[in-house]
Amino acid sequence: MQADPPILTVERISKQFGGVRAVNDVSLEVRQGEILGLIGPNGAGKTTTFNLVSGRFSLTSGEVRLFGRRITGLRPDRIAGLGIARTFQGTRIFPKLSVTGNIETALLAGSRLGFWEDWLGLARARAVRKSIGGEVARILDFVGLSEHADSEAGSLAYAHQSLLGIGLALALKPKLLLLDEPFAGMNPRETAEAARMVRRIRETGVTVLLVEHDMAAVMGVCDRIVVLDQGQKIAEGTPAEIRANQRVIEAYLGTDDDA
Amino acid sequence: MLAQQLANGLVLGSIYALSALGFTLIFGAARVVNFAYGELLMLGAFFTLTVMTYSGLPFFVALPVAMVGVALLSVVLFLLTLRPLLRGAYTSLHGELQVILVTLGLLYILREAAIIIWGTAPRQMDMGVTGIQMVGDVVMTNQRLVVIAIMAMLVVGLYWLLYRTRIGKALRAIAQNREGALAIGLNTDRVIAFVFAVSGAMACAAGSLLGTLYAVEPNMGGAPLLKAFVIVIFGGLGSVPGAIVGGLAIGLIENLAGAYISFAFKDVFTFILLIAVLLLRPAGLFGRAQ
Amino acid sequence: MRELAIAVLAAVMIAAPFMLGDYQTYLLTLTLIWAILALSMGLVLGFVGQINLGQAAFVAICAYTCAILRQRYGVDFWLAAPVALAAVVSIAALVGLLTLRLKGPFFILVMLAFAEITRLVIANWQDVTNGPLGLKGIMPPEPILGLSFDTKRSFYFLALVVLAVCLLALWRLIRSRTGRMLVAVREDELLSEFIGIPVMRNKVIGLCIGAFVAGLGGLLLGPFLTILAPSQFTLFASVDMIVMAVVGGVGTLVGPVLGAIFLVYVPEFLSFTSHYRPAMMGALLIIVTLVAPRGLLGLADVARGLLARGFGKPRRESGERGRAG
Repeated sequence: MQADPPILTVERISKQFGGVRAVNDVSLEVRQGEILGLIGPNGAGKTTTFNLVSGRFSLTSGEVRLFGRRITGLRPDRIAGLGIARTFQGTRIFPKLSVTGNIETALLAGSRLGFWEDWLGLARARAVRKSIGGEVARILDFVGLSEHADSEAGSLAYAHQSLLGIGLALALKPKLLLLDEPFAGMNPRETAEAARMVRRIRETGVTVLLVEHDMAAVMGVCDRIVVLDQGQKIAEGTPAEIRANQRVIEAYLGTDDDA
Repeated sequence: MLAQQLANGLVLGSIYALSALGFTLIFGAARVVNFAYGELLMLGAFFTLTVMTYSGLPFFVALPVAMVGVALLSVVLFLLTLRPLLRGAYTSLHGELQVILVTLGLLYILREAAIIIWGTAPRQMDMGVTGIQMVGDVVMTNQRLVVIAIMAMLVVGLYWLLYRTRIGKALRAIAQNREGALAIGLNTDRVIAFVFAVSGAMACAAGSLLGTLYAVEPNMGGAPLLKAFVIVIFGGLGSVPGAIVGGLAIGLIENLAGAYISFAFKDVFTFILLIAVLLLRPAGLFGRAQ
Repeated sequence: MRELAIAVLAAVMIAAPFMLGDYQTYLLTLTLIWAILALSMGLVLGFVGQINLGQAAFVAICAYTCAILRQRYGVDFWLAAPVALAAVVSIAALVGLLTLRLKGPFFILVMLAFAEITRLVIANWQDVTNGPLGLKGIMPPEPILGLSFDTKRSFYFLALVVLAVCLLALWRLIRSRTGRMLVAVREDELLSEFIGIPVMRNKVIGLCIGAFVAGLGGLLLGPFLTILAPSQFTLFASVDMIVMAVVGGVGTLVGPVLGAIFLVYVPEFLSFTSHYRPAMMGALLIIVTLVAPRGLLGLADVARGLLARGFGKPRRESGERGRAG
C-alpha cells in the first residue's frame, strides 16, 4: 500500500487507427494535487492520450483507473460524472448560449434536479436553481469573466472563450482536470494569466493534467512533465530534468519546423 | 417459377438501380439528399412523352432530347435554390437541414406543376418494341430486355464519365475530399452543377423507362424516390457500385418476397431490411464509414 | 404587457365560436389541431435538432390505436386515449433508441422508412384497420365530468384546451433542466457528453415528448375528421408539419402555432383550389429557408427593429431602410 495513491493511473494504453499506432504502450500516473504536463512534438499522441483518458476514444489495449477504479470503456458522460473534466483543443463552448448559460448548463447537468419538481417549479427546485445561480457567479469570478456574464459566448474574444471553456470544466467540480492546449492562441500576457489560473485551480484541490505546445509555459507551471514521441513515452521528470534530457532534445530537434 | 421471379426481379432491379444512381451521385458530390429527385424522374417521363407527342419522334430519339431537358432543369433548380445553402451544409447540421427543407419544397412545387400542366390522368407511353423471348420456361418481353440494355448502357457511360474524363476525376476528388479539392483550385460549384445535370439525365431515363412499363402520371415519382432511399442506404450513400448492386438486390428481394411470402407486405420487407442494414452497418454495404 | 396580450387572446379564442358560423368554427378547430401537430414537429426540429419524417406515423399510430380500441372493443375515449398515448410513446422510445444514433441524412431516411412501414401496415392489415378504406364514423369523445363534445363548438373547446395545456407544459419544459439539456445536446453533442449529459437519453426523451404531442393531435384528428385512412399519413403530412414549424419559426413555441394559422388561413383567404395549396407550401418552404430562416417570428423581430430605429430618424430615411430590408 502506497502512502500517496495516484489519482489517475494509465497502464500500458495503446490506440490503433487503421494501421497507425497513435499511442503505443504508454503508462503514466497523475498524483493527487500535482500539475502534470504532457508534451511532445506534433503527432506524438498527446491529444489521443487525452481522448483515451476522457473516454472520447475506446482503447485498443491497456487500462485507465481513477482512484483505483477501472474507467476504461465508460461513456464520456459517466467519466465526467466520476470526476474527470476536460477542455478541448481550440476550446469548445456553446457559442449561442450566454456566458452564464454555458456555466449554468454544466451545473444543471451535474445537479440532482428531478424532472417533475423542476417542471412544476416546486420550492426545492427553486432552491437548487438559486444555489446554481450563486455557483455560476463564483465560477465566472474565478475565471475572470464576471463582466461578460450576459454576453453571447460566441462573441467573446478567443482568450476569453478559452477561459469559459475552463469554467465549463470547473463547473463539473472535477477531481482531475484535463486541459488540452490551454495556452494555444494566447499572447504572452494572456498565457501568464492563464498559467496563474491553472495554479489557482490546483490550490482549490483539483489535480491538473495538461497537454501543451508552449514549452516555456509548461516549464513554468508544471510540477512534473511526461514527454511523448511517436506514440511512446520517452521521458518523465521535473521540468529541470526534462530540459536536460538528451532524448527529449533530440525528439524536438528532429521535428524543429512544426514545434 | 423461381427463374421467372429472378428475371422479373432483375428488370425491376435495373430500373431501381438507374433511379438510385442519379440520387447517389448528388449525395456523393454535394452531400445533398435530394427529395425532389423522384419528381425529376416523373418530369423526365412527361418530357419524353411530350417530345414524342409533338414531334412524332420514336421513343429512342425522344429520350435523349428529354434527358437534355431534365438535365438543364436540374441544373437551374440547383443554381436557384441549393447553391446558396451548400457552403453551410458541409459545416453544420443546420445547413444540412436547410438543404433538405429546400428539396422538400421543390418536391411539392414540381409535382403540382406537373398536375397543373398535364393533369392527373395516367397516360400510356409506347416504346415501340414488341414481342417476347423465351428461355426455358422463363418469359421475357423484348421491352423488358431493352430496359436492362439501356440500364447497362447508362452504367457503362457513367463509369466512362467518372473514370475517363477530367470532370469525372474532379468529381471523384470532390466526393472524396472537399477541402483538398478546394485547396487545389477545383471549381466545385461547376462540378456540382455538372453532377446535377448528369443526375437529372439519369432520372429522366429511369422515369421514362418506368413510364413505358407502367404509366406516366404526376404521382409516379414517389415510389422510385423511396426505393432510391432504400437502395442508397443499402449500398452506401454516395456509392455508385452500391447503387447498382443495391438496386438489383432490392428488385430481386421484392419480387421474391412478393411471390413467396406476402405480396401485400413486400414493401414492408424492404423497409425493414433497410433499417436492419442501417443499424448493423450505418455506412451501407459499400459505403465508407465517415 | 405579455400577460395582457395572453388574456386578450384567450378571451378572443373563447368568444370566437359563439360569433362564428359552423364552417369558421370547423376551420378554427382544424387550425388548432394543426397547431398541436406543428408544435410537436417544432419540438423535434428545434430541440432535438432533427427533421423527423416519421412524425406522421406517430400521429397515425395514436389516432388508429384510440379509434380501434373504441370501435372494435367498445372502450371509452377517455380510457383509450391514455392507452394510445402510452403506445405511441413506447414505440417512439424504441424507434428513437435504434435510430437516434444515426446522423443527418441517415436518421431522416430511416424515419421516413419507419413512416412508410407504419403506413403500409395500416393499409394492408385489413382485419384491424380496414385497409385503404380506413375507419369510418369515428364518434366524438364520450361525455366526461358533465361535459359533452358532440357539437362543433364543444369539440373546438376541447382542442383549444389541449393546445393551451400543451403550450403551457412545453413552455415549462423548455425552461426546465431537461429543456436546457436538450438545447445543449442540439448545439454540441460532443461537448454535452463531456460535461456529463447522457446524449442518447436526452435525444430519446426529446423524440418521445414530440411523439406524445403528435399523439395528442392524432387523438383529436379521428373524431374531428370522423374518418382515418392511411392516405392521410403519407410523407406529405409530416412535411406539412415541417412547413408550419419552419414558416412560423423553429426553436420557439409560438412559431409553429403561427405557422399553422398562416397555412390554414392564407389558402382560405386566397380561395385557392386544392391544387395550388401544396405548391404554395413548397414555395413558402423554399423562400423561408433561403430568405428568412427564422420564420415569421424572425421577420417580426426585424420589423420591430426597423420600426424602433425608424422613429429616431427622419421619415424618408426609415422608409428607404424598410424597403432595403
